[in-house]
Amino acid sequence: MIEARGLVKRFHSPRTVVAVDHVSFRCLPGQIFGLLGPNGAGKTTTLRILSTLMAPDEGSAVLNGYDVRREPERVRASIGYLSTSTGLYGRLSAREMILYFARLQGVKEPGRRVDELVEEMGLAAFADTRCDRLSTGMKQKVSIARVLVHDPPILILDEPTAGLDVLVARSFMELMERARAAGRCVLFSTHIMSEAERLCDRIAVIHRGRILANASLEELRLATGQHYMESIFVHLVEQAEKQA
Amino acid sequence: MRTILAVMGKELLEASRDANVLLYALGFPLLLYPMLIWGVVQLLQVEAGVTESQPSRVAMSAPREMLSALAEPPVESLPGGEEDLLADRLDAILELVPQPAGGLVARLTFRSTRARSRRARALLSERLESWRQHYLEDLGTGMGRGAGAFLPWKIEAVDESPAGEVATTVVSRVLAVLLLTVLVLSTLYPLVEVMVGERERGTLETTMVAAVPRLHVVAGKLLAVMLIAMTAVLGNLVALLATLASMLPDLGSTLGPLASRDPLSLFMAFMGLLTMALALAGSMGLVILPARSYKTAQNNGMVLGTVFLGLSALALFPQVEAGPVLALVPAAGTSLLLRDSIAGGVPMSLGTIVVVTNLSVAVVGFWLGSRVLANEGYLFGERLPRWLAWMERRRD
Repeated sequence: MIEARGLVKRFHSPRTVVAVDHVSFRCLPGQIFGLLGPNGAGKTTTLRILSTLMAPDEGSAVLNGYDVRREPERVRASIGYLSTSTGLYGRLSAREMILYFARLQGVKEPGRRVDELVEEMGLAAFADTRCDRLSTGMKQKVSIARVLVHDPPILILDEPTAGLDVLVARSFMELMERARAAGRCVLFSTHIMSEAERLCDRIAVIHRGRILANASLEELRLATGQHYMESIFVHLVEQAEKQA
Repeated sequence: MRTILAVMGKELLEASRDANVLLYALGFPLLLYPMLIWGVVQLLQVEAGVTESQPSRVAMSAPREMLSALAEPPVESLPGGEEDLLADRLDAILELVPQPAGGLVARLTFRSTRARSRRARALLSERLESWRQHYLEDLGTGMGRGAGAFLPWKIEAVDESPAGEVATTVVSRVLAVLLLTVLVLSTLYPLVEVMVGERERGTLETTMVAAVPRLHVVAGKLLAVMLIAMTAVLGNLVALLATLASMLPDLGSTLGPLASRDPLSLFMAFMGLLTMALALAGSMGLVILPARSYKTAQNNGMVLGTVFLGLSALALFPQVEAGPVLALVPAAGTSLLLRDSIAGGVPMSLGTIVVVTNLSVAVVGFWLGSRVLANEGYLFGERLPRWLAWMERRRD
């Protein structure tokens, strides 16, 4: 489970900007939680705080029972984090890349686990190809295998389908659905409304660092009187701008 | 330890597939020695030509009838003694001492470390032999004293250079500085690659989110760099010896004194070099980490590398003695330890100070490096930690 309480993050260069402004939400096991917002809304900063790459200026967050400030290593052992870049070592093969992270994460029998993932992700045909020679979709698959290698109960995915073609994005969404079915807690950020509509059990709309709404799709439809996610989003942002 | 080994293994695997690392860290230094030594040999040949055009200055003490035969140009007879030989005012001293039982002993004193002196020795030996062959028996017969009047004939060659001076001069001083130079050069490029390269490619964030202490990540990376640098140093040593062996047939006798060195002393020298590689990786890593591009990283690293090279050059000066104070200075202490270990041996205490100093520098570098990596400002390119901000101001 992920529980964020009043997270605040300010950047001071060159002027002070509140990137994350008292963000609170909860994501339960077996749930896909979507963080929906435009570029610069604070999605990535929120995910970086939850993955312990950044420390919050205020507030706290607990993942799988571990506090991000006090037990960052235990938090990192509990999560699989995918950043906006694929983060692959170009001179390693797909298999070597996954094996490296299996060893880093202390996976028992790392070789066997890599074989399992190679099979599961459909990577067998290019498992021994260097990562810098793979297509974007294949790179993303290797990244996902890396994220899953230590079988974490929580997945944090930062715009995982950005730059992917329709087919790869679709297989990616199926993978998130499988993760939900397996009881994992999946938190992902996106600015693609259709993805949020299709996948999310709960959606938090974030704009200028603040959460404007946090509810299921049906609840959002009822609250805004809009049917499509895009219309719901625009409605919420316009309301927030008026109040500001 | 498991995670350190995992990071180290990954870095070594990547480095082995990086043509630039192989070229700069291994290929270039391996080519350096043959080219350098070939150049030196050419210079020596030019020097030999110059030496041959100069007269050989010899102080002679011999029967009058022999003096005229021996002191023909280019040999020039001059007055003087051993102090003139040591001060380079003479190239050799020849004394022909009649023995009470008959015969002569020719004592030829020279300096094997001086080209002119070696040539004087060769010339005089040749003339003495020739004189013996063609004149001595005739002279003896002419004097009615028989063919064996001056026998037994004996030439004693006395080298005024201290025993093993050649090996000491060439091997210990020069080798100490050369090995440290190769160490610095072989550290720089892999270090830039594993530190700045990973950040530039956006893979650092991926590693940092693994459940691994930052110190383990830094240690794994820097140990990999140390291994690459030490491989380059050992490769260079082999290349140097192979090149010397192919160009100098008398290498065995030149390096003979090395074989008799105290093994413990040579072990201390190796430990000094090994820990220096760690200290270099740690300290250079720290100045390279804040760089936001390869170019800045190389510039930062080269500044510190030049400081280390300058300190290690102290070993070239025989008047600079290894002591507890210099042992506390990284690079200077190591180069003096190397020099003195090869030349004859150093006290264990001094070697221990050097090793502990190097390890301390390495540990501080590793620890501070892990603090930088843990800093979110550094990780996401927002800003450096406050205690490293001066580096940004310097660049601006």
